[in-house]
Amino acid sequence: METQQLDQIGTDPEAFEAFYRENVEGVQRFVARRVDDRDRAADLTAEIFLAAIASARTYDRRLGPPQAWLYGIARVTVAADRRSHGRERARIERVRGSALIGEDDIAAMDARIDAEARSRELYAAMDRLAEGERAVLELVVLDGLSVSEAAVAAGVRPVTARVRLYRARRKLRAALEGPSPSARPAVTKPKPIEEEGS
Amino acid sequence: MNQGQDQGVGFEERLLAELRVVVEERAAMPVDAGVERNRRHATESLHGRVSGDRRLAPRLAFGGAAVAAVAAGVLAVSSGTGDTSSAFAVEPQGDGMVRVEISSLSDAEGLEKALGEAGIKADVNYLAAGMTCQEPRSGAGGGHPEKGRMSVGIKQTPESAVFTINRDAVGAGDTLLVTASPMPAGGPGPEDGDMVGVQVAQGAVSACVPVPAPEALPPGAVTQSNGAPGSPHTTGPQQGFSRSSN
Repeated sequence: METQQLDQIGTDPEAFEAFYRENVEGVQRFVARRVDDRDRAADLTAEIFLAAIASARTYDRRLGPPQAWLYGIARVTVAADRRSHGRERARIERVRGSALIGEDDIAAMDARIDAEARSRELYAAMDRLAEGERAVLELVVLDGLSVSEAAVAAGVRPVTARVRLYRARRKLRAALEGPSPSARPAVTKPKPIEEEGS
Repeated sequence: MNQGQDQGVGFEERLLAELRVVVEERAAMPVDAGVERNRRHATESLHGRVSGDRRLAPRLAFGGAAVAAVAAGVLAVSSGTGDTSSAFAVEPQGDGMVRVEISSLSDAEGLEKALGEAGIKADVNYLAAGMTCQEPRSGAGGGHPEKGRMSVGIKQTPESAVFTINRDAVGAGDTLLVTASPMPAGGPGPEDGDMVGVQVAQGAVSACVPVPAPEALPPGAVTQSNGAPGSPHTTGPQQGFSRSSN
């Protein structure tokens, strides 16, 4: 999608559909790297796109690709759900994703969730990190964003993102099994963001 | 799982259809309703502040409607780098007041618990840069500002935000909402600063749904007028805003 069209997705159904089709798979994988419950994953997918619709005009193309902006929305949506354990969230949303799951969807959704089991282990291990550090580490290690893209998604300067990434890796490594190289989580790096959506 | 779903049409297509309806509804709203349609987030860049004061209207209206008392500030706190054990301090005073100091945006649950132990039911949300909680979170429309009048002022030091609250001001069924997020990159505030908003909501509150904030102020925050640096722009009881830099 042309970035100048992104600010139209909140009011132009055709622009939104193009944006949605480019990103729905990426968003579902993003969620599956963090959530192992099919219904919650579906609800969160809906919430993320609803938030994107509501805030499309906040996107500033000078700061990075639309997907980095979308991943920023996705990250805070999932993090808030994690903190609230999903309570009250589905009730207040305009669209409930879990109500849209059909029998034919289950296998594909479960397969997506199963494929990201190791990523979710790492996601859980990040609980010990400060929020700002966790944000950057998640986006770089789990989602395959570059540091500069992660900075856009986290809303910080690239130099801040680099510092936080360094600290986060160091803390996580120390917290897992000490400073040996094997302690660094080995997750399959997702495709770079540029290849996912544009 | 739903038995009545269309055969041959998957989740993604059903979700698309529902979301298109949402977009079509927004498109059908009159231009004059733009403030409502884009309420709290869609008219300005997440990463930059626009000039002018039109953004103040819905924000201040909210402050008077569902929130009993508000204090907010932009802080020069270095976020996300402190360890959890020193992220906050909750200190009950002898006179029924509780002093709260936030030194880094980590361990929201710990602060929530500490406030609970001090007799204040709280909901603490630390969000990503430029994000705030979707409003309204309380169903107590209108509220009772006089009931909510309380002693809460927020002040900044180079390392932390401090506010003091009267325990009695958060009644049974009320909730102290603490919402904070780092300043977005390129924003108008201090580099690496954070924002902290404090408000008392009456009645049940819903969970925080993060949405981008137009100028990255937390719910209920008010802002300085352009022409008078340092003089808070306030309405209603105990509202205030100030900013400090590194």
